[in-house]
Amino acid sequence: MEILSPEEIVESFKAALGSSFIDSKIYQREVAVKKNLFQAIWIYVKRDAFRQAVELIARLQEYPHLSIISSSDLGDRIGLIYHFTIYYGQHLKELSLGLCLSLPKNDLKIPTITDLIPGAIFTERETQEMMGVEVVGIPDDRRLFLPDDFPEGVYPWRKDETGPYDLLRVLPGHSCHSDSFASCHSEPFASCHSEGEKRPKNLAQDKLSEESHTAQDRLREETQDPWEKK
Amino acid sequence: MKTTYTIPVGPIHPALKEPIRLDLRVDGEEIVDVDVVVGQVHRGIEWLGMNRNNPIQNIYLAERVCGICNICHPFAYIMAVEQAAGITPPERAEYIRVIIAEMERIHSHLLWAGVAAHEVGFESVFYLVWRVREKIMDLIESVTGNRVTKAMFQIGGVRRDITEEQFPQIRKTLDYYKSIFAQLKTVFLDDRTIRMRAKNVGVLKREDALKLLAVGPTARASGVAKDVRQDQAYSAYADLDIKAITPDIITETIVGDVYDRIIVRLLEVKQSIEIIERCLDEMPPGATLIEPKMAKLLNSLKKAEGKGVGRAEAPRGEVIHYVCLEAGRETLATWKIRAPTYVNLMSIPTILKGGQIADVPIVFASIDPCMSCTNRAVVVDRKTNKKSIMTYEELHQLCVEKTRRLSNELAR
Amino acid sequence: MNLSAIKRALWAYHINTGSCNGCDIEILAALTPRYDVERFGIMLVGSPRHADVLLVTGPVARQMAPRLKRVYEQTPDPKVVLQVGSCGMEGGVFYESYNLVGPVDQIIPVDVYVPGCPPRPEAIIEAVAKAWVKLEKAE
Repeated sequence: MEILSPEEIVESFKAALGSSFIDSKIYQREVAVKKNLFQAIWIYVKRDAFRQAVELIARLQEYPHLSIISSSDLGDRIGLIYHFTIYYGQHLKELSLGLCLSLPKNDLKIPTITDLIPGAIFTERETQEMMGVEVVGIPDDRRLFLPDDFPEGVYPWRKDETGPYDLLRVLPGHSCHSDSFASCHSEPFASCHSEGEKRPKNLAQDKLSEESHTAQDRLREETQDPWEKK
Repeated sequence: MKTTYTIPVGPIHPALKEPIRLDLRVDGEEIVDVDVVVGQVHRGIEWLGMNRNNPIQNIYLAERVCGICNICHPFAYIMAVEQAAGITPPERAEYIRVIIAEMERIHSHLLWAGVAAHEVGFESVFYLVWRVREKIMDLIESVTGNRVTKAMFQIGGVRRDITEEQFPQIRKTLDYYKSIFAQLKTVFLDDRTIRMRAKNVGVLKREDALKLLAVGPTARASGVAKDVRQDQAYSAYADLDIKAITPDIITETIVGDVYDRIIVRLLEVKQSIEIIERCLDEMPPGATLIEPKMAKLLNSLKKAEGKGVGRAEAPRGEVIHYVCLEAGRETLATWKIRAPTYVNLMSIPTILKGGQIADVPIVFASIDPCMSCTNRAVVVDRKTNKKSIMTYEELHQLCVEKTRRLSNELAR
Repeated sequence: MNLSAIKRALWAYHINTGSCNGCDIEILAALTPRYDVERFGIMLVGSPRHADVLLVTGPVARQMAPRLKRVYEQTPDPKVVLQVGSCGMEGGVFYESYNLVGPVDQIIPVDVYVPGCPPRPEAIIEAVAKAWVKLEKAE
């Protein structure tokens, strides 16, 4: 198995996936005294080329190592990142490869990869129950971490109205601390407040966002995910 | 006349976020099928990190994911945040981080050795090994300030320095462990009873370990040389040329059984001692924290935007934290934690199938889960459909009795 | 504290309702030769039916609440309940999580609280001694 450089890997993805390849980023950093390189690649693909991309990774490395599937709530889309690593077992050659996808919230389906990587079953089950993504073809779709009597349709990792706000355990006499940071700031919080107390809005935070608006915009444009660019 | 029993067994694991229940389908004494049911203790740590805490408070939350290996979680989290925010810690801080992480590895492997001895039935070895472990706990307390939750890490460096005056004490403790290492090896590797109970029991083949994504000593004992310290340049490990430890240093062939896992963990204790000594010798001078003022640090984190992945090698395997920061947001936008036992649990059905019930405690302990248990066993008689209750203690008794029986046969 | 009133050995049962295991290893460390509570006659047993003392650690997760109640009911009287660690008191660092059902004393009555995250083995031994005295007085 030959070891390709990050640029060569990105080129091979571009060649294989064609128009389904959206973007890529290579991150490199020097570490400690001897300045060895820590390298990570982020590749953005469209959902229809997802299985093809995973098969391409399996060709780069026999038995690729899938660390975890992470998911984020991006408003009207859900972003999934499959964190792979390849070239393990060799001194300082391992590369972290993040395969990033984006699914629209009205069509949350993704094919399973347990036929290629049997060890992906736990993390697919967790994504299903915590984010509400449906993994098509999963061999075992029971809940993993949440109790069986957890209400349906409540997804803990989401930031919209399906978050677990009704279930927060606020002790009698205390007010809820978690609301000033959450983006959804309406009715669901009323139930978790005892004695109707609401925490005052964070005025300092509002001021910060007004003043540095343009600088933030610029920063956001440079580091945005490709499908968020308008 | 054979009946099939279903025995749920539920040890609790520290590095995993919740305790586990094993449903064993048994035919006589042989295990036919295993189902791992997790989720008994889910604390919602990721949700708390995304909705309630700022990034610095998350360090202390990440520490309490596991009480035994509570350096590796902040380590991976902080590396992820530093990658996302573009912060580089000073070199001295990297070396101090490695020293603390290796001290934790020594204490965790000694803890595991005591638990494994307890499962086999050697109670006195359990007490003796935990007495020996107290020396490293004393060292950890004198260097970091606490025995268990150490809170040494900060974004951009470490909170406390290890000064030259502390070096002689560290070296003294390491010398003590070097002097008793031969004894530990004799007790665990040369004992006839342990050989009999651990050899060819709980085998995980190399190909299964690769397919099921096993990590840590569980994978290395099966011949898969995956070790994040060796493979990827992170922190001071990149300077130290670490080699992953596989059992063929002592035995000629790698089987992947419980005995191989004991070998890997004991040799890793020795490797940790050597790593700490090298770090002490090569410690670079300089600052320990990039930004000592916390308010300024929090402010710069609030403006930062980016993604970061932090991977560290915990005593049980690879820990990965993924962090996404958004500008203007005081909490993290996304936080994903994955502890090593989460992955190693998927290998349990493959390891246990075809084995005996009396071997379940020692085999389950060999992938290094925890010792605290909330267990109930329901035995279902397939013929009559009647249920009866059996406890984990009775299962542990079966394991100990098998040891006694086999020892008596050896003695004859 | 006058320990001369103690007439018999204490048997303890430990239940973990979802803690990070920090408190659990400090409880076990209290048994090992450095702190050695066994010389006082304190022993960990494997079943709540033999226990005099219940050691409860952890914030109570949703799935564990019924089990905690059942263990409490199985323990015969007279019994003392010891709650070890900060997370069982008000949630500790996990307060307000969506999967917790409140401090331990909302589910079963608690006699002795041991704060700390985790508390030192010496603190646990002192708590057990206090529980002992309470138990002896109750008889």
